[in-house]
Amino acid sequence: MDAGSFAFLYKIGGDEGVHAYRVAICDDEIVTCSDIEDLLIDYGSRKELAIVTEVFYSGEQLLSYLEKGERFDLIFLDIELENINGVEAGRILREEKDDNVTQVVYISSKENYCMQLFAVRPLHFLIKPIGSKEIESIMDLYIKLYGDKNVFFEYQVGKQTYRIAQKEILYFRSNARKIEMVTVNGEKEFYGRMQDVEKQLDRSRFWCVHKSYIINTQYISEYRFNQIILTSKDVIPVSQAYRSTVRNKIMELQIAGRD
Amino acid sequence: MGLVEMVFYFVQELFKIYVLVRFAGLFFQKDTGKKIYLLLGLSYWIVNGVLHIAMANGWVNLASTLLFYSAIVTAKYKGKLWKKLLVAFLGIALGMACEDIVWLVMNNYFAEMNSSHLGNCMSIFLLLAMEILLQRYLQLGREADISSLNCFVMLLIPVCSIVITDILVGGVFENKDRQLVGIAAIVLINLFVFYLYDMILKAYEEKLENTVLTRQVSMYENQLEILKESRRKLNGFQHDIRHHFLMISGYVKKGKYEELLDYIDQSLHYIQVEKEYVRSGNEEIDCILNYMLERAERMGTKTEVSVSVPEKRFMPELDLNILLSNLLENALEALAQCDSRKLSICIKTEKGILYISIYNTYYDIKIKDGKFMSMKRGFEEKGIGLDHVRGVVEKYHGGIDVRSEQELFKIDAVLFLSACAEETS
Repeated sequence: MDAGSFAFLYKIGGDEGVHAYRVAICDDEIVTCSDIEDLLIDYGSRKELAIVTEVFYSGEQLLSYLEKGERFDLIFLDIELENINGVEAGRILREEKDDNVTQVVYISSKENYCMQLFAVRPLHFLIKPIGSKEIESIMDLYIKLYGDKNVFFEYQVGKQTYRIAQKEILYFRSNARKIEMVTVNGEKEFYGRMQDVEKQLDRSRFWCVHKSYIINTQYISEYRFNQIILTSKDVIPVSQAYRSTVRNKIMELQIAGRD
Repeated sequence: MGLVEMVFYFVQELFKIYVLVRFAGLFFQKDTGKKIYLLLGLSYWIVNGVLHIAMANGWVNLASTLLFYSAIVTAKYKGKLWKKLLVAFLGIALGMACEDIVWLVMNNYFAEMNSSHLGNCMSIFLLLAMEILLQRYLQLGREADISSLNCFVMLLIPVCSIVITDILVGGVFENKDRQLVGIAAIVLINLFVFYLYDMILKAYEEKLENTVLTRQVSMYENQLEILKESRRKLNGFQHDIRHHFLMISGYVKKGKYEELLDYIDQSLHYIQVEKEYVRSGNEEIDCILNYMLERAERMGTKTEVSVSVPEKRFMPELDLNILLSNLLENALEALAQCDSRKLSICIKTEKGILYISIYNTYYDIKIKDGKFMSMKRGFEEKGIGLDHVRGVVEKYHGGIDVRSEQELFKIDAVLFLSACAEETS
């Protein structure tokens, strides 16, 4: 069995660089796969976004492709697959491959979801048949929460100025006048004030949850009323003063994600 | 007044304030958390002390005590205003009765002692003793939806007892013992009022529990019906499956695709159980939603439901039930009163939170008068149902957002499920 077909669409001219969203579709029903693919191509052309799709007909196929070091931005994953089903595939992705960046949308013909599915932290659940309305709201939501905004953060160490893409930063922690920045490639330290750090950051993605902590919401794994746990297993305290603000932000996110 | 006397008086007054505020605390479950009551207590202490030294007029003292005490109780505790005033009156009535008992006893039986300070101290201790008694045997802090008529009636009792006490104490009696018995009887009446109040609260609680249980039973009955119907239909379909396949292959062979699609459509429709709107697998949610949505549909409501929750229990059923049932009952009541009925429900669990969102159309009568959101006010005045929803939301350190936009009444709630995990582990 082949790994399916490709669909290309490029936006011409303009910006710093075109980010092509890599989307995988994994379902043992050929019809479902091609339907979703068509809808994605349609979405891409309407919104003038580059979306590259890859189709898989089994969990094993998807996983072996990922073995080669390939990554996707978003995976539409069928829950009811033979052998390695959606739950298993999702678990392997998150736990064994330690990939907490790829977003998963589970698709199913039933509305029943077992507890283990939620451990994968899917972006959403879709029930077949899937139409353009569903694809549109899912893609809109994905782009809003995780879409590449091409924004950077600059900091100085000594006389050198460094730049890092904001999407690679997990969180900031301040320690007296030192700022510790935890990123996907390790920790970096520099001198500065939290207020100045905050000014550079994309407010919709970064939240200040404590006078000494600013976190990137893309890496949130679990919310608690007094803590936020990140995908890196770091536990960030939410101070009393910030609790209702954080709760309101969570509320806003949920309301926005509602159809 | 000597210096020692003054100091003694101030210390005594401080203790009295403490006992009175503690008394009020018996009736309320929650504090507002604001510290302004401390400032008010301090002001009362100073003002009262000054008034006592300057004027020594009982009525002035009573007035200032009533005023400050009401203010302190209002500032410190969370609850309805009338309840706080009632409690303030009760506290003062009881306090006065205690003072009078002690005064009478000392005057009639221990006249030689002539120590008003000892008397005052003892009366405060007597009040404290009663308080401890009440705290030990009754639960006066329970929430209940008591009508304003009932509260007015209850308020009359301490007011009347203050009047009678004053008459008894001021009057001249041949038999001093009778005077004492009279005052003691009044104190007993007041204490029994508390006992009755406790019984009323218990009755209200049981009534509410009954309502919740009755509703739960109806919901389970409905769900059971759905399950039975579903099983019956599936059995029937399975039995005829050979026939269905023959029909399908017949249509395909003859190239009658239109008819085939039609037939498949009909079959799908047949298997669908009418009253089953949601099948998330989570029993409690399916139960409540199917029951409520059935009622909405019968009203002709256009409904939209999105549920993504685990099949397994993720929250104590009672909490989930109180939350969803009350919010949906409220929505249904609003829908009943309007013409164009629309209901949109979204329930999901994600990353440790539970999100519930209910949007419905409503008829805002007062909007013509320019008074916006009468629905919201109605919702907030609704009493027990909403209190319980708030109670559950607070238990999970969550928040509710209530608003109206685009002709829809919108309620969104976010709860932290980890609070539940902490308690069960």
